[in-house]
Amino acid sequence: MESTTSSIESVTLEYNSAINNELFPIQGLPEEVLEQIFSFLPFLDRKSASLVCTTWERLAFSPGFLRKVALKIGPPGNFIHKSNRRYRNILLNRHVYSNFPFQYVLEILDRFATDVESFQCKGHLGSEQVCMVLSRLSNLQQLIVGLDFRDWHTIPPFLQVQTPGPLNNELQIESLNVPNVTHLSISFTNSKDAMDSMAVLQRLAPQLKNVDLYSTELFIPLEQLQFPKAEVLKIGENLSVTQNGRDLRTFFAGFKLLKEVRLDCVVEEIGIDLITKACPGIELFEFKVPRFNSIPFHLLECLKYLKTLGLGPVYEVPANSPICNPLVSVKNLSMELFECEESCIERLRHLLPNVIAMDVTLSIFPDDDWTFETGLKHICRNFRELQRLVIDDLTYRNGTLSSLLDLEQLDQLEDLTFKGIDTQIGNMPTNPLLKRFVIHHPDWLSDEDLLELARKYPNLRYLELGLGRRVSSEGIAAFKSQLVNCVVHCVPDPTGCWDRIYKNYIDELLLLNRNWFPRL
Amino acid sequence: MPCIQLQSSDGEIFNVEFEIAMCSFTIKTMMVDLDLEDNCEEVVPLTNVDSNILRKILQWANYHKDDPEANPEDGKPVDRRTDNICEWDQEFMKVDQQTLYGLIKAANYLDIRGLMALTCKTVANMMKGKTEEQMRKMFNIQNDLTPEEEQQIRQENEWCEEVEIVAD
Repeated sequence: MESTTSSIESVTLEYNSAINNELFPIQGLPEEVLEQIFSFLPFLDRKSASLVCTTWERLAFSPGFLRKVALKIGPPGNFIHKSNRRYRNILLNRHVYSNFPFQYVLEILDRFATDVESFQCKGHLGSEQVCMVLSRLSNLQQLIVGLDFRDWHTIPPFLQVQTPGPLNNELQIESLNVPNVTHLSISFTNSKDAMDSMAVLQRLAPQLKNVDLYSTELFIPLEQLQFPKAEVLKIGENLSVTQNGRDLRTFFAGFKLLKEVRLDCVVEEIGIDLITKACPGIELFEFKVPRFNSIPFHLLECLKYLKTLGLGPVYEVPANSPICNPLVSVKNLSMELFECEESCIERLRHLLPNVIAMDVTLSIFPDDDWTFETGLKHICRNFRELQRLVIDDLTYRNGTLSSLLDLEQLDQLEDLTFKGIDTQIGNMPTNPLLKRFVIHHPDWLSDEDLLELARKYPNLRYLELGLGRRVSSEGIAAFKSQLVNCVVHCVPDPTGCWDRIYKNYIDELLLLNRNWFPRL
Repeated sequence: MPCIQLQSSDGEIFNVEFEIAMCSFTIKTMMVDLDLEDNCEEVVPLTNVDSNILRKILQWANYHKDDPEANPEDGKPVDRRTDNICEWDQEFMKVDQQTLYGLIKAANYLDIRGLMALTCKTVANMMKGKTEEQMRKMFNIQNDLTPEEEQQIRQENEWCEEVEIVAD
């Protein structure tokens, strides 16, 4: 590029006329540019921006951004009635505010009626209340009700949840008209709730694309529900889908289009058989078989698009399993491995020859022959093509540290995640290819170790350090000066309490040590 | 290497490699609309960009010409981080406020997505961690909110939390 004609002198342009050069004339920018700038602000800073002036308040909480904001319904107050924002997600923490009148919730819903796309209630809603909610929100897409146990830092106190009113208005359900609801997540805390909700669920089931059912109760009459349009199914925890063959058949045969199936509960072979036959387009399949049953790989042969397979606990892959062709489409595998002999891993490798990403947990008391290190060695020896590995150590270690030297065999590994790994830097091999490294609990990692890490993984582009880290910001800066192209992400503490708990724990430990091992 | 000629608002003409000029969707569209794709003689006028800014932009585009093109339809979440600006870009962004302003307006007009993200991130980084009062001061903005409105926003903000989008 080169300049030819005309001089650059004597140009008068609009931005030259601004007051002075020290000030960024942000108000001269078009609103859509300002919105883009705001899109890079963390939520807290965006809240500050909304307080700057009327234009900024409108742009900082624009309808587009409100997709990512939930309005929590708090104790009755006036301000919400004066809101200019069009909230799309409403969140009700009912276990916290179980005492305020439901009428107030309905008033708020009426206020944002057609804007609301998602309604989530952490806590219990009776089916009649669900009906009242649904009938108000004609553009609702996502409904989440019930206790959410998976959200660990908001685990509700185990209050007695209110008994729902009996569902006495069948007509009301029949006339429910919420065509946009395609995503339902529901958890039951007792069978009675589930029975009560059946009518609403049956009304919604035919239109749902994304279904998430969770229960702490065993008996839920699933066979009464059919989800012909569902593409994503998740069944959680205790919800039993193995009550009897006939009901199971009815339930699973109701699916046609499933692509993602997560059965976070024990499933008999017949269930797997039914669902794979009904939905040959499955791309992601997670399930658990009962203890001592072998995994029915042969039933997965018909899934030509299966890319991600989750096996749950794996104790054995018997040599005398039914004959099965290798599942060549599977690229991602997750499992929890228990005391498996190498021959099992070999058979697994034979069945899944193209796996390049693995998420594996090694579990249980190690005996003399089987430890975390043996398990890892067998995996690394057999799955040499792994590019991504997530690894967790749940073996009983009795204070010893995990050794990961066998990872050296994986000469294509680019992406590594340590979950519950307690180790030291000397127990890790070098890897010039590794690009991404995530350590969930880097409490074993010191500032000096970070420098060693930079030497061992010279091509690292991303390092993520989870909670409980001991490294200092100086340590991270020193690391970054070694690897200038590597981004270091320190996971923020969502509650602010983790760090405190952890520090207390360390302090106590130190105190214990001091008391038990007084300096000689 | 085929070139095209870009003319800045103050009349300066830049010979630019075709490939580099194509980082701007606006120029790309202009070329197609004006049917200039095979014609290197024609000069493309950029009435909103002066030579200082255009020179900076071409410098940036030249450095980033081999970057993979971001495809908004590939399902990846849009990168919203601001701590991942590469060293070269960080150096490049060490300009006075007027130049930054010129770059951001020009990147918007020329529709250069990478540069737009870079400049917006830079301004966002200036705002991070500031209170509303500090932001007003920094950008010389008059507060036109009444105390009641301010109170309203504060209360609403308190009951807002960020969510991950599930339904799309």
